[in-house]
Amino acid sequence: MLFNSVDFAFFYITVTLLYFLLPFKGRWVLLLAASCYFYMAFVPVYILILGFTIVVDYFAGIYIEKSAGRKRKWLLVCSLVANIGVLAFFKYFNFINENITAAANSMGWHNHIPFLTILLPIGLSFHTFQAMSYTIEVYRGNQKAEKHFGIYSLYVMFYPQLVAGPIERPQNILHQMHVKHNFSYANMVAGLRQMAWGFFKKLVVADRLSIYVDSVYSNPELHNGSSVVVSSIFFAIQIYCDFSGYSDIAIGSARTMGFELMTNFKRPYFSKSIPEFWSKWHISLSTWFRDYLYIPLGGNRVSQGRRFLNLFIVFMVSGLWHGANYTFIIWGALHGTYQIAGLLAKPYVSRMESFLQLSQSKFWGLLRGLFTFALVTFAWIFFRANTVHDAFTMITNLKTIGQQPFLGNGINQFGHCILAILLLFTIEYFMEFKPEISLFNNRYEVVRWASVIGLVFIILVFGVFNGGQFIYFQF
Amino acid sequence: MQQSDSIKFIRKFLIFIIILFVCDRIIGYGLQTLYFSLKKGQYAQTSYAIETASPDLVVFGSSRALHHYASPELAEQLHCSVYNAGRDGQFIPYYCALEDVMLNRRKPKAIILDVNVWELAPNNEKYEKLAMLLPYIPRHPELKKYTNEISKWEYLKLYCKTYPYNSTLLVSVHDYLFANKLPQDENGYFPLERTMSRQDFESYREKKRVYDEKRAKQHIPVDQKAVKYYEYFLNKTASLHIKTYVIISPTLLKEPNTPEKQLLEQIAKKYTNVTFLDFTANSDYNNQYTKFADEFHLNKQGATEFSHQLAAYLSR
Repeated sequence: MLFNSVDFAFFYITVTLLYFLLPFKGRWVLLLAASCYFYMAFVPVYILILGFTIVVDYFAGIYIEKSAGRKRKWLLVCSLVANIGVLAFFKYFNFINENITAAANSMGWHNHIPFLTILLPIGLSFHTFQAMSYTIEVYRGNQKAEKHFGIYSLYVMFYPQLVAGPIERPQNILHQMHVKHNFSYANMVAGLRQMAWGFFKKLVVADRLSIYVDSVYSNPELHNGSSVVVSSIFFAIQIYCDFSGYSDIAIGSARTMGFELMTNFKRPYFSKSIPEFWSKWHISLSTWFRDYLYIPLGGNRVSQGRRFLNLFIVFMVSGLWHGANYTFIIWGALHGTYQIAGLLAKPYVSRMESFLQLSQSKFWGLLRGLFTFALVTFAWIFFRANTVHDAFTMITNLKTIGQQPFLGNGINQFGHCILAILLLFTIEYFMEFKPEISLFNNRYEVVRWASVIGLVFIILVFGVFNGGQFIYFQF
Repeated sequence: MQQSDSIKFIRKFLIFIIILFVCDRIIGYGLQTLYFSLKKGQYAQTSYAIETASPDLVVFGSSRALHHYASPELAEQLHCSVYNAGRDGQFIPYYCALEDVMLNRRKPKAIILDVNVWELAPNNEKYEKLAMLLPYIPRHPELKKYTNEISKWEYLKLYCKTYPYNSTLLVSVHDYLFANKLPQDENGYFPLERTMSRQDFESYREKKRVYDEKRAKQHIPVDQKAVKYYEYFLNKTASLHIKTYVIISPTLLKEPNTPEKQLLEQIAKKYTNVTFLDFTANSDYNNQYTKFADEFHLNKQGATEFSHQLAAYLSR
């Protein structure tokens, strides 16, 4: 079920209303049943995959807690193998098989392993990572094993964040499922407001920009360099609004029921460096990789060379997490390279900044912000392109950058895109730099009401209501 | 605390809904007034086609129809009234909707249906774009069966008075403020004055070659729903005994004979009242970039020449 559908509106109202009407003991049953229904709206049979990993991790958690020494470690390994095995089978099998076939063909052999012809279970990488974080935390002794099977299932399946995150940690969310959440006016209003902001990002910005982006990226050979630049900038904004919009709706809908999910985005395009960008972009995933991959690899407490290697590995894996395609691997590799280059350049940049007294300069800050945005946008070309060949076609087309860009349907398409971007960045600018004059949290009630009503009508007048699903569902 | 919080929320929520309802009526009425007050531009042309036009010869199609069939030239040579009801970015379901409304008003002597080579290719856009019919639903409820193609909840969304005018404001304001600068349509026809440059043509030819090679390797299934709409359109003209011409108008480069293109012809040939004309391999237009405004559309010169050529054929 898509958040941006009428079906979800009915679903959300019904579930939230019943949640507060039911006695506390019945609430987990309601949420679990609702989450199953939510998930089964996509491909019903895939709930069995979720069921399998839930059963494995539930018992793994209990036995890990009871065990010690090597047995404890083996139980963790079994749980991780089960989770990664499912992920690998559904997500990477065809990719690996394709590579084996290519290698075999180049040597004159034939690969007879058949390809899978099934759809990827929706949000597989998200709930797999959330499930893995549970067993790892139980193993590390940071989290008690959950004895209540229903509550544990709900931890993995909680519908707001089931298919596209935020990827929660058991320490943050599991205990909330044991607590009775009374109806709170403040939570309800804040949650609904955040949902409205998420819908604005998705319907007014992301889905509007996607019309332009799709028309360029689906036929890269037909477009000139200016169109590549425009569509890539649009895609950078589209993917931010698509994904952070989803997160806002998820966090907001959970909050209306009293649950606090972790923040996933902090206006990343105002970042002045790549590390800062990653501290504000898909925070739940980047902290997951930090805690469960980067630090176990040695983190910062190793030689510089090893640290660079660790960083590169983390970003390559992050690329692979997004999809079984070389485009994602190159995207990850580019970000790994940016990080390493940034670390190498840092002492020189710092010295130059202090010598020229640039650290307080707003203009220098703006330049750094634009440079960071340009680097991130360049990497998005690989992320969005259907194939590596398409990505290089687009980059090659950059040589015709002086020509007029593709304008779609003129004012109706391009005008809406520009308007949407202006609205987004104006509001986000005030949120980031002038929070004291925030519209949605203004001290005057009339301003708050006018802002929300204005937002609803901006969505109605400028939103795209036949837009597709969220980009991150495919991961 | 919980009870007082919930009562407070319900009270404020009801006030919020009332304000939304009132604002929706006011904004919806404002958008409706603006939309139907337009005298020039595509919205005005569509409104005229849906509400008023009743010519002897009517042209249905997308932007290629809109810019290729010079109504004044056709009218002069054929000695009848002609209206070009083409609309940018539309596909076969839209032509059917328009056919229903126009034929309910008056039966024309002949119909031209301009189809694209990719008309039957799968593309959800062709159904989503039916949203441009939403402003006309209150006056033409028969269009509901088409707008229901957009989504199953479309009837529910129509309780909101602002929704039918979604995404129309910018163009409406533009067409209202700059009406003096907008070209006046010529019985629906919008000529394109610009001419394609040689450089753009060469660049497009290369890109098209790569695109066609790529496309030839792909198996693209036919959109069966679009096929049904196409048959519906032709069935209706057949039942009313209207002479119909299904035309693929000139293209800058010769189009490959794709399965979708072949299907368009096969279906058209089943009807005795239908003549199928394919100009995609016509040497008068292929590679003649000076007759084109861009990769897909003839300019005024090309459209005039094509219309004369077509009128000569039709008047035989």
